Amino acid sequence: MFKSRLRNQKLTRELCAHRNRFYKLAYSWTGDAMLADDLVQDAMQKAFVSFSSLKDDTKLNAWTCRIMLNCYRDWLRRQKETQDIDDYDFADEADPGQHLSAQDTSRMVRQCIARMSEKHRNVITLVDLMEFSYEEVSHALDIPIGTVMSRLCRARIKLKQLVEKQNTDLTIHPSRTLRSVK
Amino acid sequence: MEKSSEHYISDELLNSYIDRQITSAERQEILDLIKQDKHLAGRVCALQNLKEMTRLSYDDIPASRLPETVIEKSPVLPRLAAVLAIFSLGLLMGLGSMHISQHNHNASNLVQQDTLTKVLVHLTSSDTDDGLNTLSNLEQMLEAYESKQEPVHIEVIANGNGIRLLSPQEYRIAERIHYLTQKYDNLNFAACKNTLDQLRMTRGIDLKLIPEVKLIDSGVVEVIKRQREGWTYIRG
Repeated sequence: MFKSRLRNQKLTRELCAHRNRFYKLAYSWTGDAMLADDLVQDAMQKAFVSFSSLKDDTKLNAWTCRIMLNCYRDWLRRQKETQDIDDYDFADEADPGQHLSAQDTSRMVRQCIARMSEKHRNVITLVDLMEFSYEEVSHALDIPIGTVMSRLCRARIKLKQLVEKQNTDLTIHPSRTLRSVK
Repeated sequence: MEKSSEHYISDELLNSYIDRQITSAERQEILDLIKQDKHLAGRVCALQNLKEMTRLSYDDIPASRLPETVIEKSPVLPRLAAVLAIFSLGLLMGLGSMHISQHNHNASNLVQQDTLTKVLVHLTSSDTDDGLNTLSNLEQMLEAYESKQEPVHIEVIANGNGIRLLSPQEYRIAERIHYLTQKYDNLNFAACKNTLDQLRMTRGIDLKLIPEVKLIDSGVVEVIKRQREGWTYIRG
């Protein structure tokens, strides 16, 4: 009992230490700060009450990511069922004219990632934002490592194409910079 | 991506290289090839740039509004069990204190003050069934405390999507809240004014709330404040 309590405390501390990374990941999926907060909160709370079902403590982050992904999919399903005032947009990207080019680039990359398929987006954000090993990604997404590798490869090719296309559009129509917000 | 005429290394392997997912020996082998092959070096460089760009693009997103400390949540039944456990403990403490109170009236007042259980219920979801379920749990909790004559104060705070549950359109919830607030004066409902303002500004929706709800400036700030004051947090 005491051992289990100590373990839970240790796992809780570990999760809290990575909270900001989980938030970035959730933001990359949702594009919305409030929703990302909710998603992280939900996933972490679910993780806290299910530590006993985590078989390998070294897979804590991957396991929590899988929970968060399930929370996100549930949310998407609910969104499809009801379209009402709840989906109001609290997007942060509201005032493009005042941002400098570095921020423009960041926003543009985020928009490209948002346009990718869920499969590609998941794998690329888990590797690049969460800094997961391929084994952890495999565990989080419940797919073989070989699939992680091929999917990541395709995801990066796709992202490169999207970024290049966006850059070309901006070069041809520089005035669009000010309008390139959602 | 294209093939080099000199050394072809698959994109999968190059990705593994930049993600540090290969052995030191394999890494060294690729490094040696990169030194000899400009085209290969270019492919690696492009991949590394893309990876770095992805990583950096989320550095300037809005900061999380949640407190650093993570709020623990248990499923509905264990949550209720936990509240009842707190209640029983409070009752035991109360019984123990009765003996003391015969000797010292002031000490008794202090003990009584300590036994006041303060519960904060945070509504963030707009799901009607979840809302009704939360209200049922609250009622059971209030009944349990009342039957044992133990003091409890419950404050329900709604923000974000949860605010919708406090509108008259959610008539089943509105009726329940009306009934509960009539019956218990130690139960209050509050809604976040920031959310209402954002709703008005971003969507042009002027959401009306039921009369039992008081407005507070910021739901999140209030939640943090109450937690610091020692209120027990339950997510509705």
